[in-house]
Amino acid sequence: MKKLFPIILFSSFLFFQYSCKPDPTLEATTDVELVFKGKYADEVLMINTVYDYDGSPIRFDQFNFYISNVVLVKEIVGNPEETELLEIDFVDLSFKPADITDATKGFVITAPNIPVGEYSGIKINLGVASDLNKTSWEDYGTGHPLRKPGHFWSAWESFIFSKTEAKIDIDSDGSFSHKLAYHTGSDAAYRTKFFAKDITLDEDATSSILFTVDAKMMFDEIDVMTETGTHNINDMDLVNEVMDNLQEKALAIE
Amino acid sequence: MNKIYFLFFFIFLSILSCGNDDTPEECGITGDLSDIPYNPQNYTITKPDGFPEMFIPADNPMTVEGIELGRHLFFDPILSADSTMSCVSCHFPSLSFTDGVATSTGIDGISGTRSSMSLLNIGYVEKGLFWDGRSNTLEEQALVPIEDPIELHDTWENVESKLKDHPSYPEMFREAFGIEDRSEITKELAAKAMAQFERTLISSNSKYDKVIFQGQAAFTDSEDRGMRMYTDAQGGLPDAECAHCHALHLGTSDDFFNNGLDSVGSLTEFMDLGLGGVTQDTFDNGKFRAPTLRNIALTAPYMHDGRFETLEEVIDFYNESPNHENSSNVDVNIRPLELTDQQKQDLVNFLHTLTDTVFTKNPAFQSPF
Ligand code: HEC
Ligand code: HEC
Repeated sequence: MKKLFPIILFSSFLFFQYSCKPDPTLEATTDVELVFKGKYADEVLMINTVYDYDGSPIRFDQFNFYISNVVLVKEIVGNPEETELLEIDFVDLSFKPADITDATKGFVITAPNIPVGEYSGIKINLGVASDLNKTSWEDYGTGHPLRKPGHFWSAWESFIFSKTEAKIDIDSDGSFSHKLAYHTGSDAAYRTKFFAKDITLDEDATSSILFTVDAKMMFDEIDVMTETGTHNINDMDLVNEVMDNLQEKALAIE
Repeated sequence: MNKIYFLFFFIFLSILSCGNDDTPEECGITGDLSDIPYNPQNYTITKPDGFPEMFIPADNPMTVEGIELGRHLFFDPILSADSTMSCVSCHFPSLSFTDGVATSTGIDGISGTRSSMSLLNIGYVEKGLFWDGRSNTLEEQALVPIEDPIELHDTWENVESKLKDHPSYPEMFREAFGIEDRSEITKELAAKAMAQFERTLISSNSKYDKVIFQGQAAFTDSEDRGMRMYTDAQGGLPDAECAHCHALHLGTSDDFFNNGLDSVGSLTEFMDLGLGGVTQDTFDNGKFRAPTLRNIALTAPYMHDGRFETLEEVIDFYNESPNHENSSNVDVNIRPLELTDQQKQDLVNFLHTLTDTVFTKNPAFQSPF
């Protein structure tokens, strides 16, 4: 029996060694949730749901966009220090009416193990950063946010940064025949959005940072009657307008 | 205290004992197949240029023996009630694994309502198999045709017992999956083997691949114009919008759309509800998978019900898109294209560059019998 003791001790040591690995770094961290709530003016945004667009019924088929290099910023007297939350992710606000609970809760992305502390702002890039935009969807494994064949456009040699697809029933006759397909992409469409905001991350609780994205604002100052789509290379003006709208008017922090 | 140590020790021992490397005798199980060696060889898929990594489920790694078993099962009428049909009855290799008819007919002569689908590059489909996406994995899918009354119309219980009594299948199951006894043959293992075979059905030797990746061929002017319209690449040509749903290089964006085939008064009136029948969401009614257009020239007739005989008819349909305003979930990218006759021909010519006969003639994809 005595001979067995060392074996048992050693095997239990091995067992514990592999079962729970304490974080070797002593820095305290927490999980940060980025919550994106889609809305249409003051209403919760869902696809296949009718909203009012300047007196005409409008309905969305999809609304989504990529975000890149999201960082928390710490201002250390004029010398900002950045802490990465995520490199790339896909925010999909195309919730169905049956999923109204999820739509109300918002689209949640969790960034794990972020050092706790006081931060003074958050930077979000809209679109796919140029280094990743040189790659293609096929380069990624199943489940990766960039593995989306429908969000890559070979002629543009770019990921499709955002898709806003909607239909308007212009004459309110029940037929949603006026179609809008605003797709954006290419390095020139990449946008950086900085929100100055005091953000405190505590060790004991998951912190949520809440954003709203107003789909109505994607069309702001765009003549939707004449500008119905942006899917070819020559539509860069419209692509830029749409991305400016996302950056400046649609996306806000709560 | 000593008792607790003993308990730990026995748990430890039992974890160690019946490992993969042990002979069945050491594990206390004997069976009629254990004398047959079980040394499966890993099979690695070579990733063609422009293709993604294929997702292989962790519980069904590809092996040479598994694929070979799958190929046998795929071609063997043992899977049908009256031993007249097998998978290949509706999925001919020469037609890129379709059957050349509008809707397929099963063993009882009953015709289904849907057209057989090409199994080419099937391992890359991730958003749901079948026209309506109702099957999640190839393992799950392969279970379906056996019991479908308008396909092989057998029962798995019956097929399992035919396989167990067969002169060579028990050995092949042993070699592929390491079973000890023929009683361990199950429908799940049969489905795994067929799925492994199906994952090998990769097509990447079309003229398109030779032009784009291998630099071994060049498009004609017409094909080149066709491709530029297909991908909305402009250059003075109209957009044909195809790539939104049939994205290159796989020829599919692996998603479901209503491409405006049917004129309906309301979303509940589609003859075939497609995706909506699966999700129970009315807005999904009339949506179908946009299938790959690789080898499309070999897979006529076209669409889920085989309504179009030729690619020319398909292009005419998209060019006119007669129902683009008709039902409220027709995709935003469906609209009349206003292509000239020459431009329509250019598109057809481009689609022909996606033909790969190296694939259809690949000896590894033919009947082993
Ligand atoms: C009677 C004809 C018939 C037989 C026999 C048959 N299939 Fe099919 N197969 C079809 C049809 C029709 C479809 C499309 C059905 C649908 O979408 O509802 C299909 C679809 C499939 C798909 C989905 C393809 C895709 O792109 O999503 C796979 C995989 C498949 N079959 C594999 C098999 C296998 C494996 C067998 C043998 C076990 C088999 N089939 C036997 C007619 C048949
Ligand atoms: C809005 C998405 C969409 C667009 C744009 C689109 N397709 Fe399709 N395509 C589909 C869907 C969905 C199907 C299957 C429809 C069905 O059977 O109900 C399909 C089917 C087909 C088929 C028949 C496939 C088969 O295996 O039977 C061909 C050929 C085809 N499309 C070619 C084209 C071409 C060429 C273009 C451009 C002119 C194009 N498509 C544009 C979505 C689209």
